[in-house]
Amino acid sequence: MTFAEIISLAIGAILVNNVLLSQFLGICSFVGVSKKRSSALGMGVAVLFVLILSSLVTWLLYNLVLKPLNVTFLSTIVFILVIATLVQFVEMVIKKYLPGLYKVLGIYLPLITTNCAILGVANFVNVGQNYDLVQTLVYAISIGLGYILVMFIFSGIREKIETAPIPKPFKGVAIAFIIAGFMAMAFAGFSGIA
Amino acid sequence: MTPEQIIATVVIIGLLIAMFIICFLLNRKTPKPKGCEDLEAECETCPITTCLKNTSKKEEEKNE
Repeated sequence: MTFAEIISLAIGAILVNNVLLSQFLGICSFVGVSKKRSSALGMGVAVLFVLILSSLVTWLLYNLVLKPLNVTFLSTIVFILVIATLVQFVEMVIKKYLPGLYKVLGIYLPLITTNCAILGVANFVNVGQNYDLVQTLVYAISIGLGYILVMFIFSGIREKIETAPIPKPFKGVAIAFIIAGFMAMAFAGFSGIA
Repeated sequence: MTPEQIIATVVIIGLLIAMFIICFLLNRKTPKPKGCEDLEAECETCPITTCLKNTSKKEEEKNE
């Protein structure tokens, strides 16, 4: 894989096919944990961490176990179980050996188990596109970075909007969805990038 | 489906479920680090009230 292809895949995953604003995956955490920049960043880093590990493990399982045994129809249930197990394992390891890291992102790890962005990426790289290992890792890291970027921007806007004179019916989640809609329209402008 | 596929399905799913249960139990036994006992995710818009992270339930209890 050439450097240009890696950059193209990365930019595509971060901007053009952004997991939140183009693919509409992981919206629950997007709206739920984006009221403050600190929590949005914590969630974003946790998602990136789990995305990289889960993509790696699911790729290995899919290509070394499911494909040779001709049981690729199990991919969805296997990926769900792998992601859930991985999150438990990662939380345990971080609790024991990295307490500083647990303080920052440990509380968000259980929220990631049900984050459909993780399962979506695992399905996309294995079943959808059949990427090799390098492409899978590049794609997973880029999706995670795209997630962090959008979460950070969105939480910044939401923090500012707290002091704005929003009409009562639009306060809270309503204005958040309107902002998300405008952001999705803005990101749709990247779709022209080849 | 061939018998080999059926066996592979049962073994793979069984192993993964067993691994999940083991990891879950070990995670529960592992104590939280000092200073992290009262951490809460600031998750406020999810309608799933049975979720442990849902803070709206805790606010209702506080108000009562």
